[in-house]
Amino acid sequence: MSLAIEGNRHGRASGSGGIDADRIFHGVTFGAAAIVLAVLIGVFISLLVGAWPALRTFGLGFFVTESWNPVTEKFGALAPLYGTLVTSLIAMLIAVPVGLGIAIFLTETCPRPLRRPIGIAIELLAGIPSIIYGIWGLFVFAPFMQTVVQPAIISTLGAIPGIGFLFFGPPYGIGLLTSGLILAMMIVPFIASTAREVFLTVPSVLREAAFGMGMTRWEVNRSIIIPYVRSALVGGTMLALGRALGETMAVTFVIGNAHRIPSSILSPGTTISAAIANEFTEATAGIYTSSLIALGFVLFVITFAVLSAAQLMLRQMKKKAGE
Amino acid sequence: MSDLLTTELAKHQAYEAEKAAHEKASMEAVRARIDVRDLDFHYGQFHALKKVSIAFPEKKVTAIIGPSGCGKSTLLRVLNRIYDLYPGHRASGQVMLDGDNILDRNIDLNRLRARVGMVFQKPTPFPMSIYDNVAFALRMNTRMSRAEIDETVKSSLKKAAIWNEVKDKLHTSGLALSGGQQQRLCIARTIATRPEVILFDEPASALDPISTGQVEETITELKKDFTIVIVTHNMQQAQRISDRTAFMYLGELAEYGETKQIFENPKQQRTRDYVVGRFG
Amino acid sequence: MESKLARRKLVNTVMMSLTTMAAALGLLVLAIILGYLFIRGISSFDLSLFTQDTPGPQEPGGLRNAIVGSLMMTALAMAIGLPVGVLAGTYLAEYGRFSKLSSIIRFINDVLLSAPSIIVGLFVYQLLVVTLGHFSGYAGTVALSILVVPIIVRTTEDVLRLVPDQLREAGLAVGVSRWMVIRKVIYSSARAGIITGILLSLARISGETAPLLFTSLSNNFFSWNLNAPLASLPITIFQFALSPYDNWQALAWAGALLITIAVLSLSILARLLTTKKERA
Repeated sequence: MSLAIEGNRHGRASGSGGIDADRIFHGVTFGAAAIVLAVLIGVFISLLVGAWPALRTFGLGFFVTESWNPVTEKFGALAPLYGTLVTSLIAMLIAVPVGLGIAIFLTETCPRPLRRPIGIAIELLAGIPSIIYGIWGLFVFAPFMQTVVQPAIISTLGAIPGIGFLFFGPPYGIGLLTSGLILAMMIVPFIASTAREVFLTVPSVLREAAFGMGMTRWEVNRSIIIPYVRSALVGGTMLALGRALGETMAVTFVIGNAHRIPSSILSPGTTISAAIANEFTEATAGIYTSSLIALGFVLFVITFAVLSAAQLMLRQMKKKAGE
Repeated sequence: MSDLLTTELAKHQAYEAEKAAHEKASMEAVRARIDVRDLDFHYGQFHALKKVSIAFPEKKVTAIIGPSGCGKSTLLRVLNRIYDLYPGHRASGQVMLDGDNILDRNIDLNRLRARVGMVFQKPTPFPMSIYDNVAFALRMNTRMSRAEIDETVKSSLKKAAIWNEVKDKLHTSGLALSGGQQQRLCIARTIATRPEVILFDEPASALDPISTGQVEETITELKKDFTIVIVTHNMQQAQRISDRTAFMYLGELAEYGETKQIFENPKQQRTRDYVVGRFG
Repeated sequence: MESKLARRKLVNTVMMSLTTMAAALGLLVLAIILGYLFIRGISSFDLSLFTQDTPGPQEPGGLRNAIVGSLMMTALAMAIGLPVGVLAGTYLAEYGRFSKLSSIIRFINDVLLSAPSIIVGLFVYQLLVVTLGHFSGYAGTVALSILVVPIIVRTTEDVLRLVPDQLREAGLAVGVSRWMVIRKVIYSSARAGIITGILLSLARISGETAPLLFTSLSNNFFSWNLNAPLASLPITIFQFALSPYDNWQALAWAGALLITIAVLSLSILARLLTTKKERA
């Protein structure tokens, strides 16, 4: 009697469709996993194909040209690229310290009974869709910036020689600074909840040992905990950066959609995603559409690089935690 | 005085030799259910089993003992090829079951595992009702009618000595049982597929003494119908329930014989050291 | 010595107060946003929101067509994304757990998880709108489903990996084929986690605007037709908020409140499910 060919002595049904069904299921799950891969490749190819006419027409000059003129059909990516980087930079400058501060507060200073509810609240806020921040930014925050914050900035920072040019001009309300601030509000909960999770992975013996040496709370956090989880923190921060770079709706409402590179961060500008969101359906000429897709392609490449780096760092942390 | 001692010793040795020969003969009389020949096993680079040859006699309990990492669980996991789940795990040699080498690539693993059942260290009830835990494999693998399945579930639970405790709650979750009950449920589940061989991988190490006693009793009952191989680190347990004992050391089969002989009169020093608890 | 300690303590007090202020500031801002949203949204939040379609400028109306369009696309996107995501997650956690390709797919999936959604919109525009020659609800659906898949893949794989290997081995050890073990044993152990993934992805896509801008476009009239431009809540909010008309702006606020309530309830529900599982 052979195991391979016959059933055993109990008259077992032939395999219950076992092996073949198993192979099919294996194949189906593999196919599904391959779809993930196919989507990435598909995005890359389709954007490249769509962007090709613009890239061919303008060449490398596309990346260093400020002009964006649908009438003369002359397009360059420099202004939206600049806007994307500047708004993200502003957002990160504010959101990283505030987000880390919240995380440290939640793991150290916060009264214990409040830790869980506040932690949960922060995590819930990280899930609020960006269009909510956008609409709030447009109707509430931008007027506030225009009437209160920006005049104050112009009269104080704007008067300082050397950096005054950054804070110059009339208070529009909308613009690069406002967009950066809205972005910051959006990613603060994200950074805070990621950092909190990371802090919680620190073994408590490490914390206790540090306190045991007579370190203050701040010293323990600054010299022991943050260095211990540095790569994960950097990874989490870069994930947040990836979000900020590609964020569309929160920015589109308040950026002003001006294709130029203003010296003042109070001025209207544009970002890659805002330009696409604002203009794509109105773009008529082929080269106009293609230029917008080329912008999308640039954004894709940048965010892919940032997010990949973030993943690598987070993975390093996971490996460390696994050991 | 010393003369006397020498004669006594010689006599004793002669007796031992005779007894060993007798045992060997009786061993050969019992049919081997699983015959392992020159088995090598690798985890990646690690050589876990080295040229192991061992025959497990039919309808007996064979215990495998040895210090942690000696390969005893590995040997057990070869017998139903459960190691196949993991990459880099390779076995070579022969493991004969009814004239088939189960290490063959073409072996139908589902059928093999239905014939060689396994009970694990920790109880592993499936997340379904007590009844379904036992009926699961029957529904998948056989064309039994509802009534036949009912009957098999009942008789399996009885054989595993858990029927009286669960007969009124067959349709509640298996996860709600106590650890000892869960383990006996897992035994019932294994019996239900009517295997020829049942492998136990330290089945009582996660249980309290009372549950352990119940599981041991069940195992002793089961040897009437099944060939049983049990890995254990508990010497008393091996002595209590097994007919034969294999002592493994550093991936090799160091000594194998009647349980009584292994524990009372081991041939090798390292076996003696281990069974009296000098290491391990 | 004393003065150094005093300075350290001062630094500590200052820095720890700063973290408290950061938390206060962050929570305050978020409370202001939600507060405004609630006050502005509730003023035009009534039954007509659900019974009337989007109006012309300065006319009374509601968001019925946008709500229905969003529900249709979301439901269909889940119907596509859920099986693909669960199956792909199954591959990563089960069959392909150790393969090189899996680690690449895992990596790419994590990148797609936070990739800008407007890029997905552009991709689907190229894939479906350009080739079919018109905007459609189907295109919007596909864009949303591409956002769903990575979330479901990640949660499915994570939760399947929490299922102990012994349960897999136990399933195989009763002679049941691997896919049946996955379907009947592994999935049911992981059910709560998979449902959490579904809720989280629903929360994510119900507010997504960017990927719909140039796929489903919008539609001012009530329509069941997925093969034509279709209204959706986020796009309607976007258009109405940027309009100069008071009644449109009011509807945008009401829609924003509606979305926020939906997203928050889904996230809270998901959270309740996970905590319940943790406790068990």
